[in-house]
Amino acid sequence: MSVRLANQGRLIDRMRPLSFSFNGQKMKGYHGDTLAASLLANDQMLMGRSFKYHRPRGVVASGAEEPNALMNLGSEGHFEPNARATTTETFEGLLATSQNHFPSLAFDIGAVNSKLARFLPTGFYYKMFIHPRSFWKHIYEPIIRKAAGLGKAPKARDADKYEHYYHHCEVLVVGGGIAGLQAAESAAAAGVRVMLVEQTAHWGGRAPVDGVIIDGAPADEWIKSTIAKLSSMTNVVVRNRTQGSGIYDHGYALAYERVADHTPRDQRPRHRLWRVRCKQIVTATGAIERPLSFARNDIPGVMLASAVRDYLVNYGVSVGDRTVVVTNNDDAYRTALFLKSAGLDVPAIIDARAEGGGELMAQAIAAGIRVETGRGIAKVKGGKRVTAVSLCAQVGEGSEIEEIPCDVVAMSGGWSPVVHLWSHCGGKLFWDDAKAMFRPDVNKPPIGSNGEGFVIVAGIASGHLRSAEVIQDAGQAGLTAAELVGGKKAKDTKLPDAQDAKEAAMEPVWLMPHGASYKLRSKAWLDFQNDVKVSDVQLAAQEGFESVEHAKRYTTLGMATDQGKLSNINGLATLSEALNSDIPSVGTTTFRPPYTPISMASLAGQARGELFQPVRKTPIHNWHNAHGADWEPVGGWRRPYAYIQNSETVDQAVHREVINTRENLGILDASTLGKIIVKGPDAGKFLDMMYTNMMSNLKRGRCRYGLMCSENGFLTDDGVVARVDEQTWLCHTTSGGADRIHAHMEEWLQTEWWDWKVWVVNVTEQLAQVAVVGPNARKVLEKLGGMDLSAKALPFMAWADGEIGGFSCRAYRISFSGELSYEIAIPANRGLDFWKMVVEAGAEFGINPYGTECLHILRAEKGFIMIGDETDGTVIPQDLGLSWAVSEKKDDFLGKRAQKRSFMDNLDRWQLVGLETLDGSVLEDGAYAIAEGKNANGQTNTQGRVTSTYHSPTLGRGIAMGLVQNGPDRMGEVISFTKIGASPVNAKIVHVVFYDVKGDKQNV
Amino acid sequence: MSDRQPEGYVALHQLRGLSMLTLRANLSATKIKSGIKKATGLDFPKRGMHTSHGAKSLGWMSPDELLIIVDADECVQTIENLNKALVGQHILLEDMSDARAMFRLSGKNIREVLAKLVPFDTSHSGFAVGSLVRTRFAQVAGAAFMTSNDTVELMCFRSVQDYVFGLLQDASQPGSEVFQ
Repeated sequence: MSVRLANQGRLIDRMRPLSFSFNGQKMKGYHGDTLAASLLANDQMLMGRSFKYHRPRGVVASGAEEPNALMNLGSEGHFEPNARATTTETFEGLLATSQNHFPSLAFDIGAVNSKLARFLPTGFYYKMFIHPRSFWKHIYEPIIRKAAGLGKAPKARDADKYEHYYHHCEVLVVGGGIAGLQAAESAAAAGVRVMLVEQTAHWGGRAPVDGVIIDGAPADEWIKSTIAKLSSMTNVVVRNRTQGSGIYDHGYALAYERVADHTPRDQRPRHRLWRVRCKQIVTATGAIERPLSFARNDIPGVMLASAVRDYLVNYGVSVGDRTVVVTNNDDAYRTALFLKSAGLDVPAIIDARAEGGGELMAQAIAAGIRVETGRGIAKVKGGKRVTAVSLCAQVGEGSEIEEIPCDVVAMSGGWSPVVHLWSHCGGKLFWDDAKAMFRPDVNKPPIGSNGEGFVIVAGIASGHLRSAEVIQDAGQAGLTAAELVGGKKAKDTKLPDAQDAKEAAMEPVWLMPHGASYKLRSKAWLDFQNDVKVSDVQLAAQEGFESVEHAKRYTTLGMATDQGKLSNINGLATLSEALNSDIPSVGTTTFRPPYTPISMASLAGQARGELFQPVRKTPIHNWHNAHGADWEPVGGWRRPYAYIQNSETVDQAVHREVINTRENLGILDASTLGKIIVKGPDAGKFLDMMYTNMMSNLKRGRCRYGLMCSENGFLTDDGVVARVDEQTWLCHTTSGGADRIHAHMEEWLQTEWWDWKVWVVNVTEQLAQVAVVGPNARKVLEKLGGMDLSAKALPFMAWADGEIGGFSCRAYRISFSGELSYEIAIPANRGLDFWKMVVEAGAEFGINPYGTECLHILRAEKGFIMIGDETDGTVIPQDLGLSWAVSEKKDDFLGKRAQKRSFMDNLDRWQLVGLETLDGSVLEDGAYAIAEGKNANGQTNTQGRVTSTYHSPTLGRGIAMGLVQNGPDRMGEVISFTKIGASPVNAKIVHVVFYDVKGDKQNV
Repeated sequence: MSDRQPEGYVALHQLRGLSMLTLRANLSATKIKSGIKKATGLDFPKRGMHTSHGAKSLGWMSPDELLIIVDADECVQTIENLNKALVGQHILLEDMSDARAMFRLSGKNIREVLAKLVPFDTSHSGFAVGSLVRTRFAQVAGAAFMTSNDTVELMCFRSVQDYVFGLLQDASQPGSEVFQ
């Protein structure tokens, strides 16, 4: 059984015990524990079930690479699935439950899959579930989804706070082991701004565990003094619990700080995402130990040798009384030696190398540990816990020589540098045959915008496994980084002297024993989380999946939440052997950020709830809100769709607003309309280019409706232009178009007509604009008094500056409704007061505010087009019967040439008409006009489509506008339109203006 | 909009009673620069900077755009002075007082609160006193004026002032300090 020892445990504080709960059971731990350490201390070796076969799984590792020990943490708004127990700090009251089992962790019905494993080889799902096709969606997928899967999806809204932080520095150092510390120190000495991040809560990495001596003392002392020194420097930011998660182009990096995972509900943000902009990045990311592939290596109790050592040294936890060490390198001997000196039993070290190891092996033998060289493990015995291993010759097929009872198997297949961050942005790797590892090729780093590398790798991450080399390499990396970013030349500083035991060469072992039978291979796990075995990868190779990327997807090797941190190298070595090819030519799969999963909420940062998206509010927004506004998003704004009174439905409100505006008086908040001032000696010439019609000859005090096209001739915006003075025009744009048209104007002025004397300012937000609309419009404004608004003084399409009810304003006599209408512009800060004044004064004239739907119906009854309804980026003004607004006189305007192309200048195009259903019903929006016959794809031919369609309260029936082939020449013809799930609807082609064709109502 | 009194680890106030003028002109022309100096009494700001005296300031917005901020009661006079000083020049001067909202953050942690929302370098070296940066606050456009070592003034469009106020409140929430 696994227990807490009476001594050891450099990271735990025995004076601070704490209690937590696992699967409802109360357990004890210490401050400083990881959840995995706490669970082991409570003899909870079984921590999860595998994804596919539901096999019992214990913890394998002690860090970010852990594939098995995934937990549901917390509850309700603090719930999180798939948390690695090895990177979760235990805190008082922590709630954890295990995942992927039914009904319980110890007894799981799904484990029957394991018995069926023979029938569930790799690719089984692809081969089996394809027939019959219809079964996938309704039968197979729901069942598979239920059976597979890891943690539960959270149900409650996340109750925590998250934030971003934009950090700028010259050098970012990722990894707080001795390499990272040295690199940061060397860089910081040059005076540049340095940020050092470490994903765990502790500095120093493996060195203190492995007994490294620095400057004659245990590494811990140097680590403490170095981090203290760095923390005190004003040009250095050090951050633990912060993972360098991703490296992107242009020196951009993401660091993921787990601020309060271990102190929930303490008011701090749970996670903080550091968005770092730097010039050089040093990746001192260390290495990950590889498992060995032998039969039943997934039985709980089989762990990485380094992890067994970590639990002992860091947390004072013995994983079991008797540990068999199995290795192909010297490093694992340290585990045996540490266990022995802690008084635990090491029945044997099984060294696959015929000659065994060096100095450390001698120490082990001297300590009385039995060392078996040239041997391997044939098979692990036990079910939910290791009970014994059987030995075999490493070179053979796996005949069992001897059985050794034990509780733990500490395995080591060598070390793989963590090259992920180096590779995120394109750093290349090379295969080091002697060390049997992929190492960063320092001559091919990720390239920055200046064509030079911007990532430097340091220490073990670069493949330097000895501490002395690590310090030298990291010191150089720090100096180089600082020098590249313009740091001052550092004085020759002496680097510390680091020492550890000499090691003999490792020997790659990709399968144990080398000639393992199929039976053994089909129990030798590569990917623990996704249940991929040696036999699966071999089958993939046999079936022709030669590319490592294809084999990965076929077998799902490395596709689990751990992204193959333990399995990738073993998997591709297995694949290369199966393909009779060497490892470098098989290559690795792509390393993509983030290094480990990071919370979605940290990516969102503050963008949630009220701050999810900015809502633009007009000066009158709050009044609308208080008066029943049913909101509609328009170009980032919220506009009232309608104002609901009493128990009205939305439709009833719209109906009321239309009738009231036609018969009495309506008021509309038109503040969202774009307003752009264009001024200068060349402003008229400029506007003649921007608009299809002439603007330069507009007289002062007058307005003109204008159209804007893209250079491809398509209609892009419309609005009323007013001539303000000799050199100044004011252009109204659509609500959604203000910023776009402003940018469009600036672009042409800055890139094409840079020598024209024209200035442009977007004054949209400076002005509130209120439309007073309806037969009583003049009455209410005259009642308020201040300026002459008579038909004579202010005729249709004129404007004047003046005063209304004491407000300085500009009044435009323009109409988008067909009614007598004034649009009054006032400074935005006075908009609400002006609005309230008009509403109050209008009471006797039946004033009602109206929303965007009423606006739409009023304009559709009058046949006015709406950008975005009648246009969709493929429509030209001529399609909409707007040729009158396209000047034939002007030499040029944007879109003129395009509109002369044969397929544009063509009467056969779909063109705008009115549509009147024979039965008075409302056509469906976007419905197609049906034509004779079928096209080449067997689809019914079409001859037009509906662009706007409403029930007209004024006319009491459905009205629509649509684009119909050759439409204007087909007045009176009846054509039919599609209706989803029903028979086509017949409609007559009519004139586009349904109401007051002569325009008498607006010209009073 | 009522006056807001949030509780954060930096102080946050909305500034009122200011007028803002946008001047589009060729700012490298000597006549323009001297005219502006004469009309406002302020030094002409360098690229990326602003100059100020009391509530009055000049902000460099782009090579051809200047922002002029004055007390609301000086607005009309300032427009008149500018029009007089720049007569005959090709300029566009617009009163934009109502188009924007301004906030002031004060306290020793303003740089870090700002760094939660803006992508530029808010450190002393990247954002010295006197700087003016056109930037974004999370998802909306804005500008930041570093007015003293412990005050920064932020400008955004009026339509999104509630959003920006919410951002600043959220970023300065006690407990979310980045550097102790």
